[in-house]
Amino acid sequence: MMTADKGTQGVRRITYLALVIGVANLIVISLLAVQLNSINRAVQSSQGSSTTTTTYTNLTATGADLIPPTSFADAPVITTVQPAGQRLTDLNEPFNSTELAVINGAPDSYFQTAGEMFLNNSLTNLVGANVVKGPELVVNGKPSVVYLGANTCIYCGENRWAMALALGKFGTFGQLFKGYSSLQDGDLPTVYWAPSRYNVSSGIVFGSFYNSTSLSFVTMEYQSPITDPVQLPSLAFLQQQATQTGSFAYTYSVDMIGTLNLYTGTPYTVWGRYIVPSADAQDFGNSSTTSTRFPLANLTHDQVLAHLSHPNDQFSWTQYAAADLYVAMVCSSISSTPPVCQLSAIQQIEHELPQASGGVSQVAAGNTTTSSSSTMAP
Amino acid sequence: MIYRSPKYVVLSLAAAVVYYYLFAYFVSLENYGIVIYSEPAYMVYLLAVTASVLLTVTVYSLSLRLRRGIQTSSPGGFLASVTTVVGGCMAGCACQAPILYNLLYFFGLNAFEASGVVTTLVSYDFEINLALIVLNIVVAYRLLSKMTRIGGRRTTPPASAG
Repeated sequence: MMTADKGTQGVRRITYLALVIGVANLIVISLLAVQLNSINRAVQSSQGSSTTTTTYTNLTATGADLIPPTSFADAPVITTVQPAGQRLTDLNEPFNSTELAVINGAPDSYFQTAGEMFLNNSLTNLVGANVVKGPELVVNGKPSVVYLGANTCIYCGENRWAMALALGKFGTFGQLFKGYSSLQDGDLPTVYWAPSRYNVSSGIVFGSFYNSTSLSFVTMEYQSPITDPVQLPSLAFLQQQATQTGSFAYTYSVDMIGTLNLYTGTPYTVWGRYIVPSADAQDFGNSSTTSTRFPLANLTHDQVLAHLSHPNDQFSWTQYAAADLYVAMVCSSISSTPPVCQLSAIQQIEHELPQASGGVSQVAAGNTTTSSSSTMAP
Repeated sequence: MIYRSPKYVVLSLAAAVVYYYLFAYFVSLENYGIVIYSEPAYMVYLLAVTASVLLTVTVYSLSLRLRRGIQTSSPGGFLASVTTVVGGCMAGCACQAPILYNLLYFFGLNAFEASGVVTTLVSYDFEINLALIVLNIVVAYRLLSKMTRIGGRRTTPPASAG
């Protein structure tokens, strides 16, 4: 009897020991996960807050802008009304003049208010990104904004609104198109720079309908089926496609992205001298961004534009604040000073950017600038 | 047999939940905070469940080894965690994949090479996660077979008994 009790006790102890070992196993792996994350952050930090200086070669390119088609036969406008989450309603439909005016004519006061909110930390949604000062691509004598994104990507989708608002302060969009992130990546309403080839298994749409006297806009949008999960573009494929365009602006852009080793996915943007390797905000609506169902996904394009034309909530102010960061980078990179660059909020944000070595330099290939990099956060 | 004991049922459920959150954690790391899967949700649940079963079987085999000296234990439990972590990293590869990219840069690849590797992995995302699920099942099955074989031999009463 005594032996049986001892045996039972022993078995119990061993079982508990086994359970503890199992749990410890989980904890160890979790710690490893955290460690891996730390390594990841350290690598990003070393790229983003280095005190050493790096010499970059600026690039200049000349040639006609790439104007994309206004429609694709294999990707017509979708007119079927569908519910949120499975919705491609109005996909590829061009913005009408009223809708374009929201982007092209956003008042400076909205940028100022949002900038103040960003600076005094009164925005709930996250605004900020690692900003690296890198080489500058000058296209046809103008500093460029380079965009590499994907038609299906959720971050590209939410960030294009801010990009469009920022670019609208330096020029005008002759055309914009209604789009979505993929059905399996949020199904967020977004703006496309050009119609999407949403049925192709793999492709790139180059160019936009943006006109500016102070900026060039070099856009590369990777295309994959809008109903599938997001696909990441391979830079080798992008390089091959860019070469086929015959445009130095595009081949140089891809070379620049490829040689800096900052690329971790899309969106990847360059604003004059500043590189932003990810979206500069997480603005998925008026609530937490960790949810798998984003408030923005329930809005139509018209509703998003209504928010942006009369900003009065976190979503719209965050979009303007995200645009402010981009505006500040451009203001810091161009020689002219459009009114938006004279806003106090923009000038304050400029001070948070990695310090520029001077005004814009329309230098020929081979000239160098000394650059440093830093992490910008609110 | 294992699941007759409430302890193992609890362990299995708890492990499934922990593995699910571990998976989601890695997805959020890859996506700058948001949890969005690049594969069907059932694959995520299947991976969490099979990993938890594998962990439970491993713990049970370990207890058998300690209790009866039967040499059945294996590093299966560790494998369960690894498959979850790898699965999480893969399923999190959406717009961004900072962990994978930074690891690849750390190992000396340039952006062109790294993007090639990540693009290839992402295009086989479903298949890779399916393989991880199958791996969990196969290892758990092998472990159970081994326990049944050895346990059966050990627990068979001698012919002279009784």
